[in-house]
Amino acid sequence: MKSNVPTFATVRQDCDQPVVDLSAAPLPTAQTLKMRRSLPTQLLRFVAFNLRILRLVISGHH
Amino acid sequence: MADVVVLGAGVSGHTAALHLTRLLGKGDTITVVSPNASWNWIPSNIWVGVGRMTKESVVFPLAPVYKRKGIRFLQAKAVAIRPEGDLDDPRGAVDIVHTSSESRGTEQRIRFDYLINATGPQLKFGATEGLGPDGGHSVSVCTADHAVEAARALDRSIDIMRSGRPQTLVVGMGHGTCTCEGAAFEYVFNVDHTLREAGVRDLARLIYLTNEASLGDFGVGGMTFEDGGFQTTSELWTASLFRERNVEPILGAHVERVEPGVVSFETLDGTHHRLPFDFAMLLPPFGGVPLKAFDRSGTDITDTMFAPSGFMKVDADYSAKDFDDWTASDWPEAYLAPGYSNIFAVGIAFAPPHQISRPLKSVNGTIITPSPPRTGMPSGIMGKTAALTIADRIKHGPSRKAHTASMARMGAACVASVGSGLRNGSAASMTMVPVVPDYSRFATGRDLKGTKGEVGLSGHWAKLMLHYLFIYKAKARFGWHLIPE
Repeated sequence: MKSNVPTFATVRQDCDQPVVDLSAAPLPTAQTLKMRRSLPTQLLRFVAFNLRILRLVISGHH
Repeated sequence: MADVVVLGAGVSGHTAALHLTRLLGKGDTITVVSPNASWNWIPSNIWVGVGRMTKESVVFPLAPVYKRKGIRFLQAKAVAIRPEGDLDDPRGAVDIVHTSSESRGTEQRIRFDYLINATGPQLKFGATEGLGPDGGHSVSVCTADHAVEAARALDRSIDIMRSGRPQTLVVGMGHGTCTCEGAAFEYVFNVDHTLREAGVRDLARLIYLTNEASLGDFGVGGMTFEDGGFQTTSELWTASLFRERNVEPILGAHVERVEPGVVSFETLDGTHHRLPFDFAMLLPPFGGVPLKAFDRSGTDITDTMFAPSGFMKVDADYSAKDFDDWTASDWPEAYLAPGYSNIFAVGIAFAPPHQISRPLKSVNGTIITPSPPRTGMPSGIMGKTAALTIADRIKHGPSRKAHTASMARMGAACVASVGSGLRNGSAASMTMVPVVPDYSRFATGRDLKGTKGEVGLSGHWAKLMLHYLFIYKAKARFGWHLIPE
């Protein structure tokens, strides 16, 4: 088995708790946020999700 | 003519029992033993836990379904398995204690030709002092009743914030060895959304307290996704979501104690912390339900059949090995108890050979490692697989080859869905295949075509669809068996 070295491991210094510093994590652009709500885009994503689930189901049975 | 006994009526046991009704002949009997009178679609407890759904939307009584399908239902808990029977009868037997109001405490021994142990988890709130809603100081969403209580507590916090007072809300894992990090992830996502809808998000500090050593681990060692022509990780994906929603993560934490308004925990670096809170939803660690095992002469063989965790041993490789030597082939295929061709353990009831995430200890020696998840879709598939094997063996003889469904081949989905209606929701959806990484088949351990994380409204539709489909299926309505596990 393998494991990755965590990227977000630094604890924030300005905090009373050992909260991980996420300031380097990417934020979605306005276009990405729009796509997440766009009905045509999401209809396509819904179909893709269901096809993916179907594939998972088929791959699990032997 | 054979008698099949299924212990447990959760996703795994219920799926197995329903499939057996269509696979077995008229002379065969199916008996389900469950201490609970109702079936609960547990993934939707998350929505109950934020007040978006009622308890009645996620549970239904089992007895009418079983009556319609010709299944004998005993509301009871199993206390002992006798795989070789007793001195009176060499057929296998299970000792049960009834739990219904009419016959509570009555003991009974029932015989079986085939047995499926699908008893699910024992919720071990007692592993952490002060954890849980029953006598403790935190809430949970593990059962529908717990989720109702969690929603009430969340409402109280929201009311306080509406009066202008800030609140600290903690969501996560109540012990260093917990599993189901995906459920806590879903819940924190829902709490954030509920706070925004209530217009009080700016007064809430939302902390995700987890035993995962890295964000996006989810007890499966994290995932690699392919996105926009690059490989990225579930860690980056989760970090982005948390930053966007201002959720503060605390990683590698073992909760030591929950007192009124304060949770004490140790982190992997060995330091101890006290976190004051106003609302805390902390999941408990899971153990196997207390089941003993005896051979025909009455000698206790519990240690042979069960792992120390209380989960039943099956056809997995339980030999002690280093993390680097663990492979996908260590995981069970047929879920058969060693030495028996007629006893299966599926869903949470089987003992995993080892963790999927790298096992870690704090510098003080405290184990802080997620246990492997095996709920939801994998549980259903295992239940169906055991049912297929049993049906084949009843029809064609006990040496018939077993059907297989290794977690190193099957996939799983986790959808954290928020909002109501078809236009206003959103979701963070993950799929992975296989659940247990197989580095002999895939460079990243998993098939990149089936392993994805995405955020958007479509995930919300998918979660709603799964809610209604699975409850329809569990009620064994027309065409139920066409709905995949």
